[in-house]
Amino acid sequence: LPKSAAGGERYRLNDGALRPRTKEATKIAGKFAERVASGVTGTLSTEAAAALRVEGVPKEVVDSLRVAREQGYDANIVVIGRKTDTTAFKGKPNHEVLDVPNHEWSEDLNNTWASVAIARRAPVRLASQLAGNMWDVIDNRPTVFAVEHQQLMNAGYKRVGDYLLPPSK
Amino acid sequence: MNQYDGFDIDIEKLKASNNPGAGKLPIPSALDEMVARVARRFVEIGPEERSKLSSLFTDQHSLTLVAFARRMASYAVRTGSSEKLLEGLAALVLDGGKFDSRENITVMAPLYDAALKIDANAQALFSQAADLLKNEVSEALRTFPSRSEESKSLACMHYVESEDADGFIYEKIW
Repeated sequence: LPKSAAGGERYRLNDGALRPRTKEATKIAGKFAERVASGVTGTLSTEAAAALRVEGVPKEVVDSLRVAREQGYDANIVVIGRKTDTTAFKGKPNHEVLDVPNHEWSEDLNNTWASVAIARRAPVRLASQLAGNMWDVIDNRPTVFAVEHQQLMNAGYKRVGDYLLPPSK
Repeated sequence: MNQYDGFDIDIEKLKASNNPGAGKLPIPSALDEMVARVARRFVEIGPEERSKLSSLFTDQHSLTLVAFARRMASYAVRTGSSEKLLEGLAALVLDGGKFDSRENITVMAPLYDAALKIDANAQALFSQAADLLKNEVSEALRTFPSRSEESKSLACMHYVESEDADGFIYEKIW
């Protein structure tokens, strides 16, 4: 895997990650990756790590983020879940929410974004409970949240409380 | 049973958890008829009443309304009825994304595709629905027709055209 997901098309996806089905989603995901990556620089400072701990982020998660940054990945704590729940994390330091205008969002882009998180070895915050939010009982299909969660699990992520951590290298 | 301006809605019956597997029933189902009645009412009443009607619904009803919208896209293709499309679009706005607006956005692709198939004015229908109530979903509806062809395609939202025993359907793939 390359060190950065910036550029979109240039990164390779981990096993289990979904590839965009359309050129449009690939293009938008590429622009998105560049935009979010541009806000991240260098390693996680001691102060930033302490601030995350004060906010209740578990030590394993902070360590995971620190390791990803030390390995050169443009990683933040990626927040997934129902949009009604992820909104609360917008603008939180060292957190990242998929925040694209409604006219750009597609399921294809969403899957690509999860793949970007995997490629960047980003720890993930579950903003919504899994129970009751993963399965559309009417249509017998997984919800959008369930699909992004499953991508991460397929890539080897492990659950720690309300977080998912990437597999060890 | 909830009374709304002389209009009875069995809001409990419309919860997704009370209708497991209903999305796969032949179209139109009894549940479709119930939701269609609410959607038509939602279109007919004034802005203030629409807001009140929408507030009766919670995230527990969202996936019922989203499934209805998808089913109406299929039904519109079978019948050539743009009214069915408007009912589907209205159901999305009625919900307003209370569970997750992304679920609402995905189903806009089959609704748009259906409008093209039956030679309905997609732009006008989407705008009419978007004007019903201001919320995140209506904003997404308003801009949907002006997306690039690819980003409003069925493929982009993971839908395919298929058939069941009664004819054409839009099917979600995952």
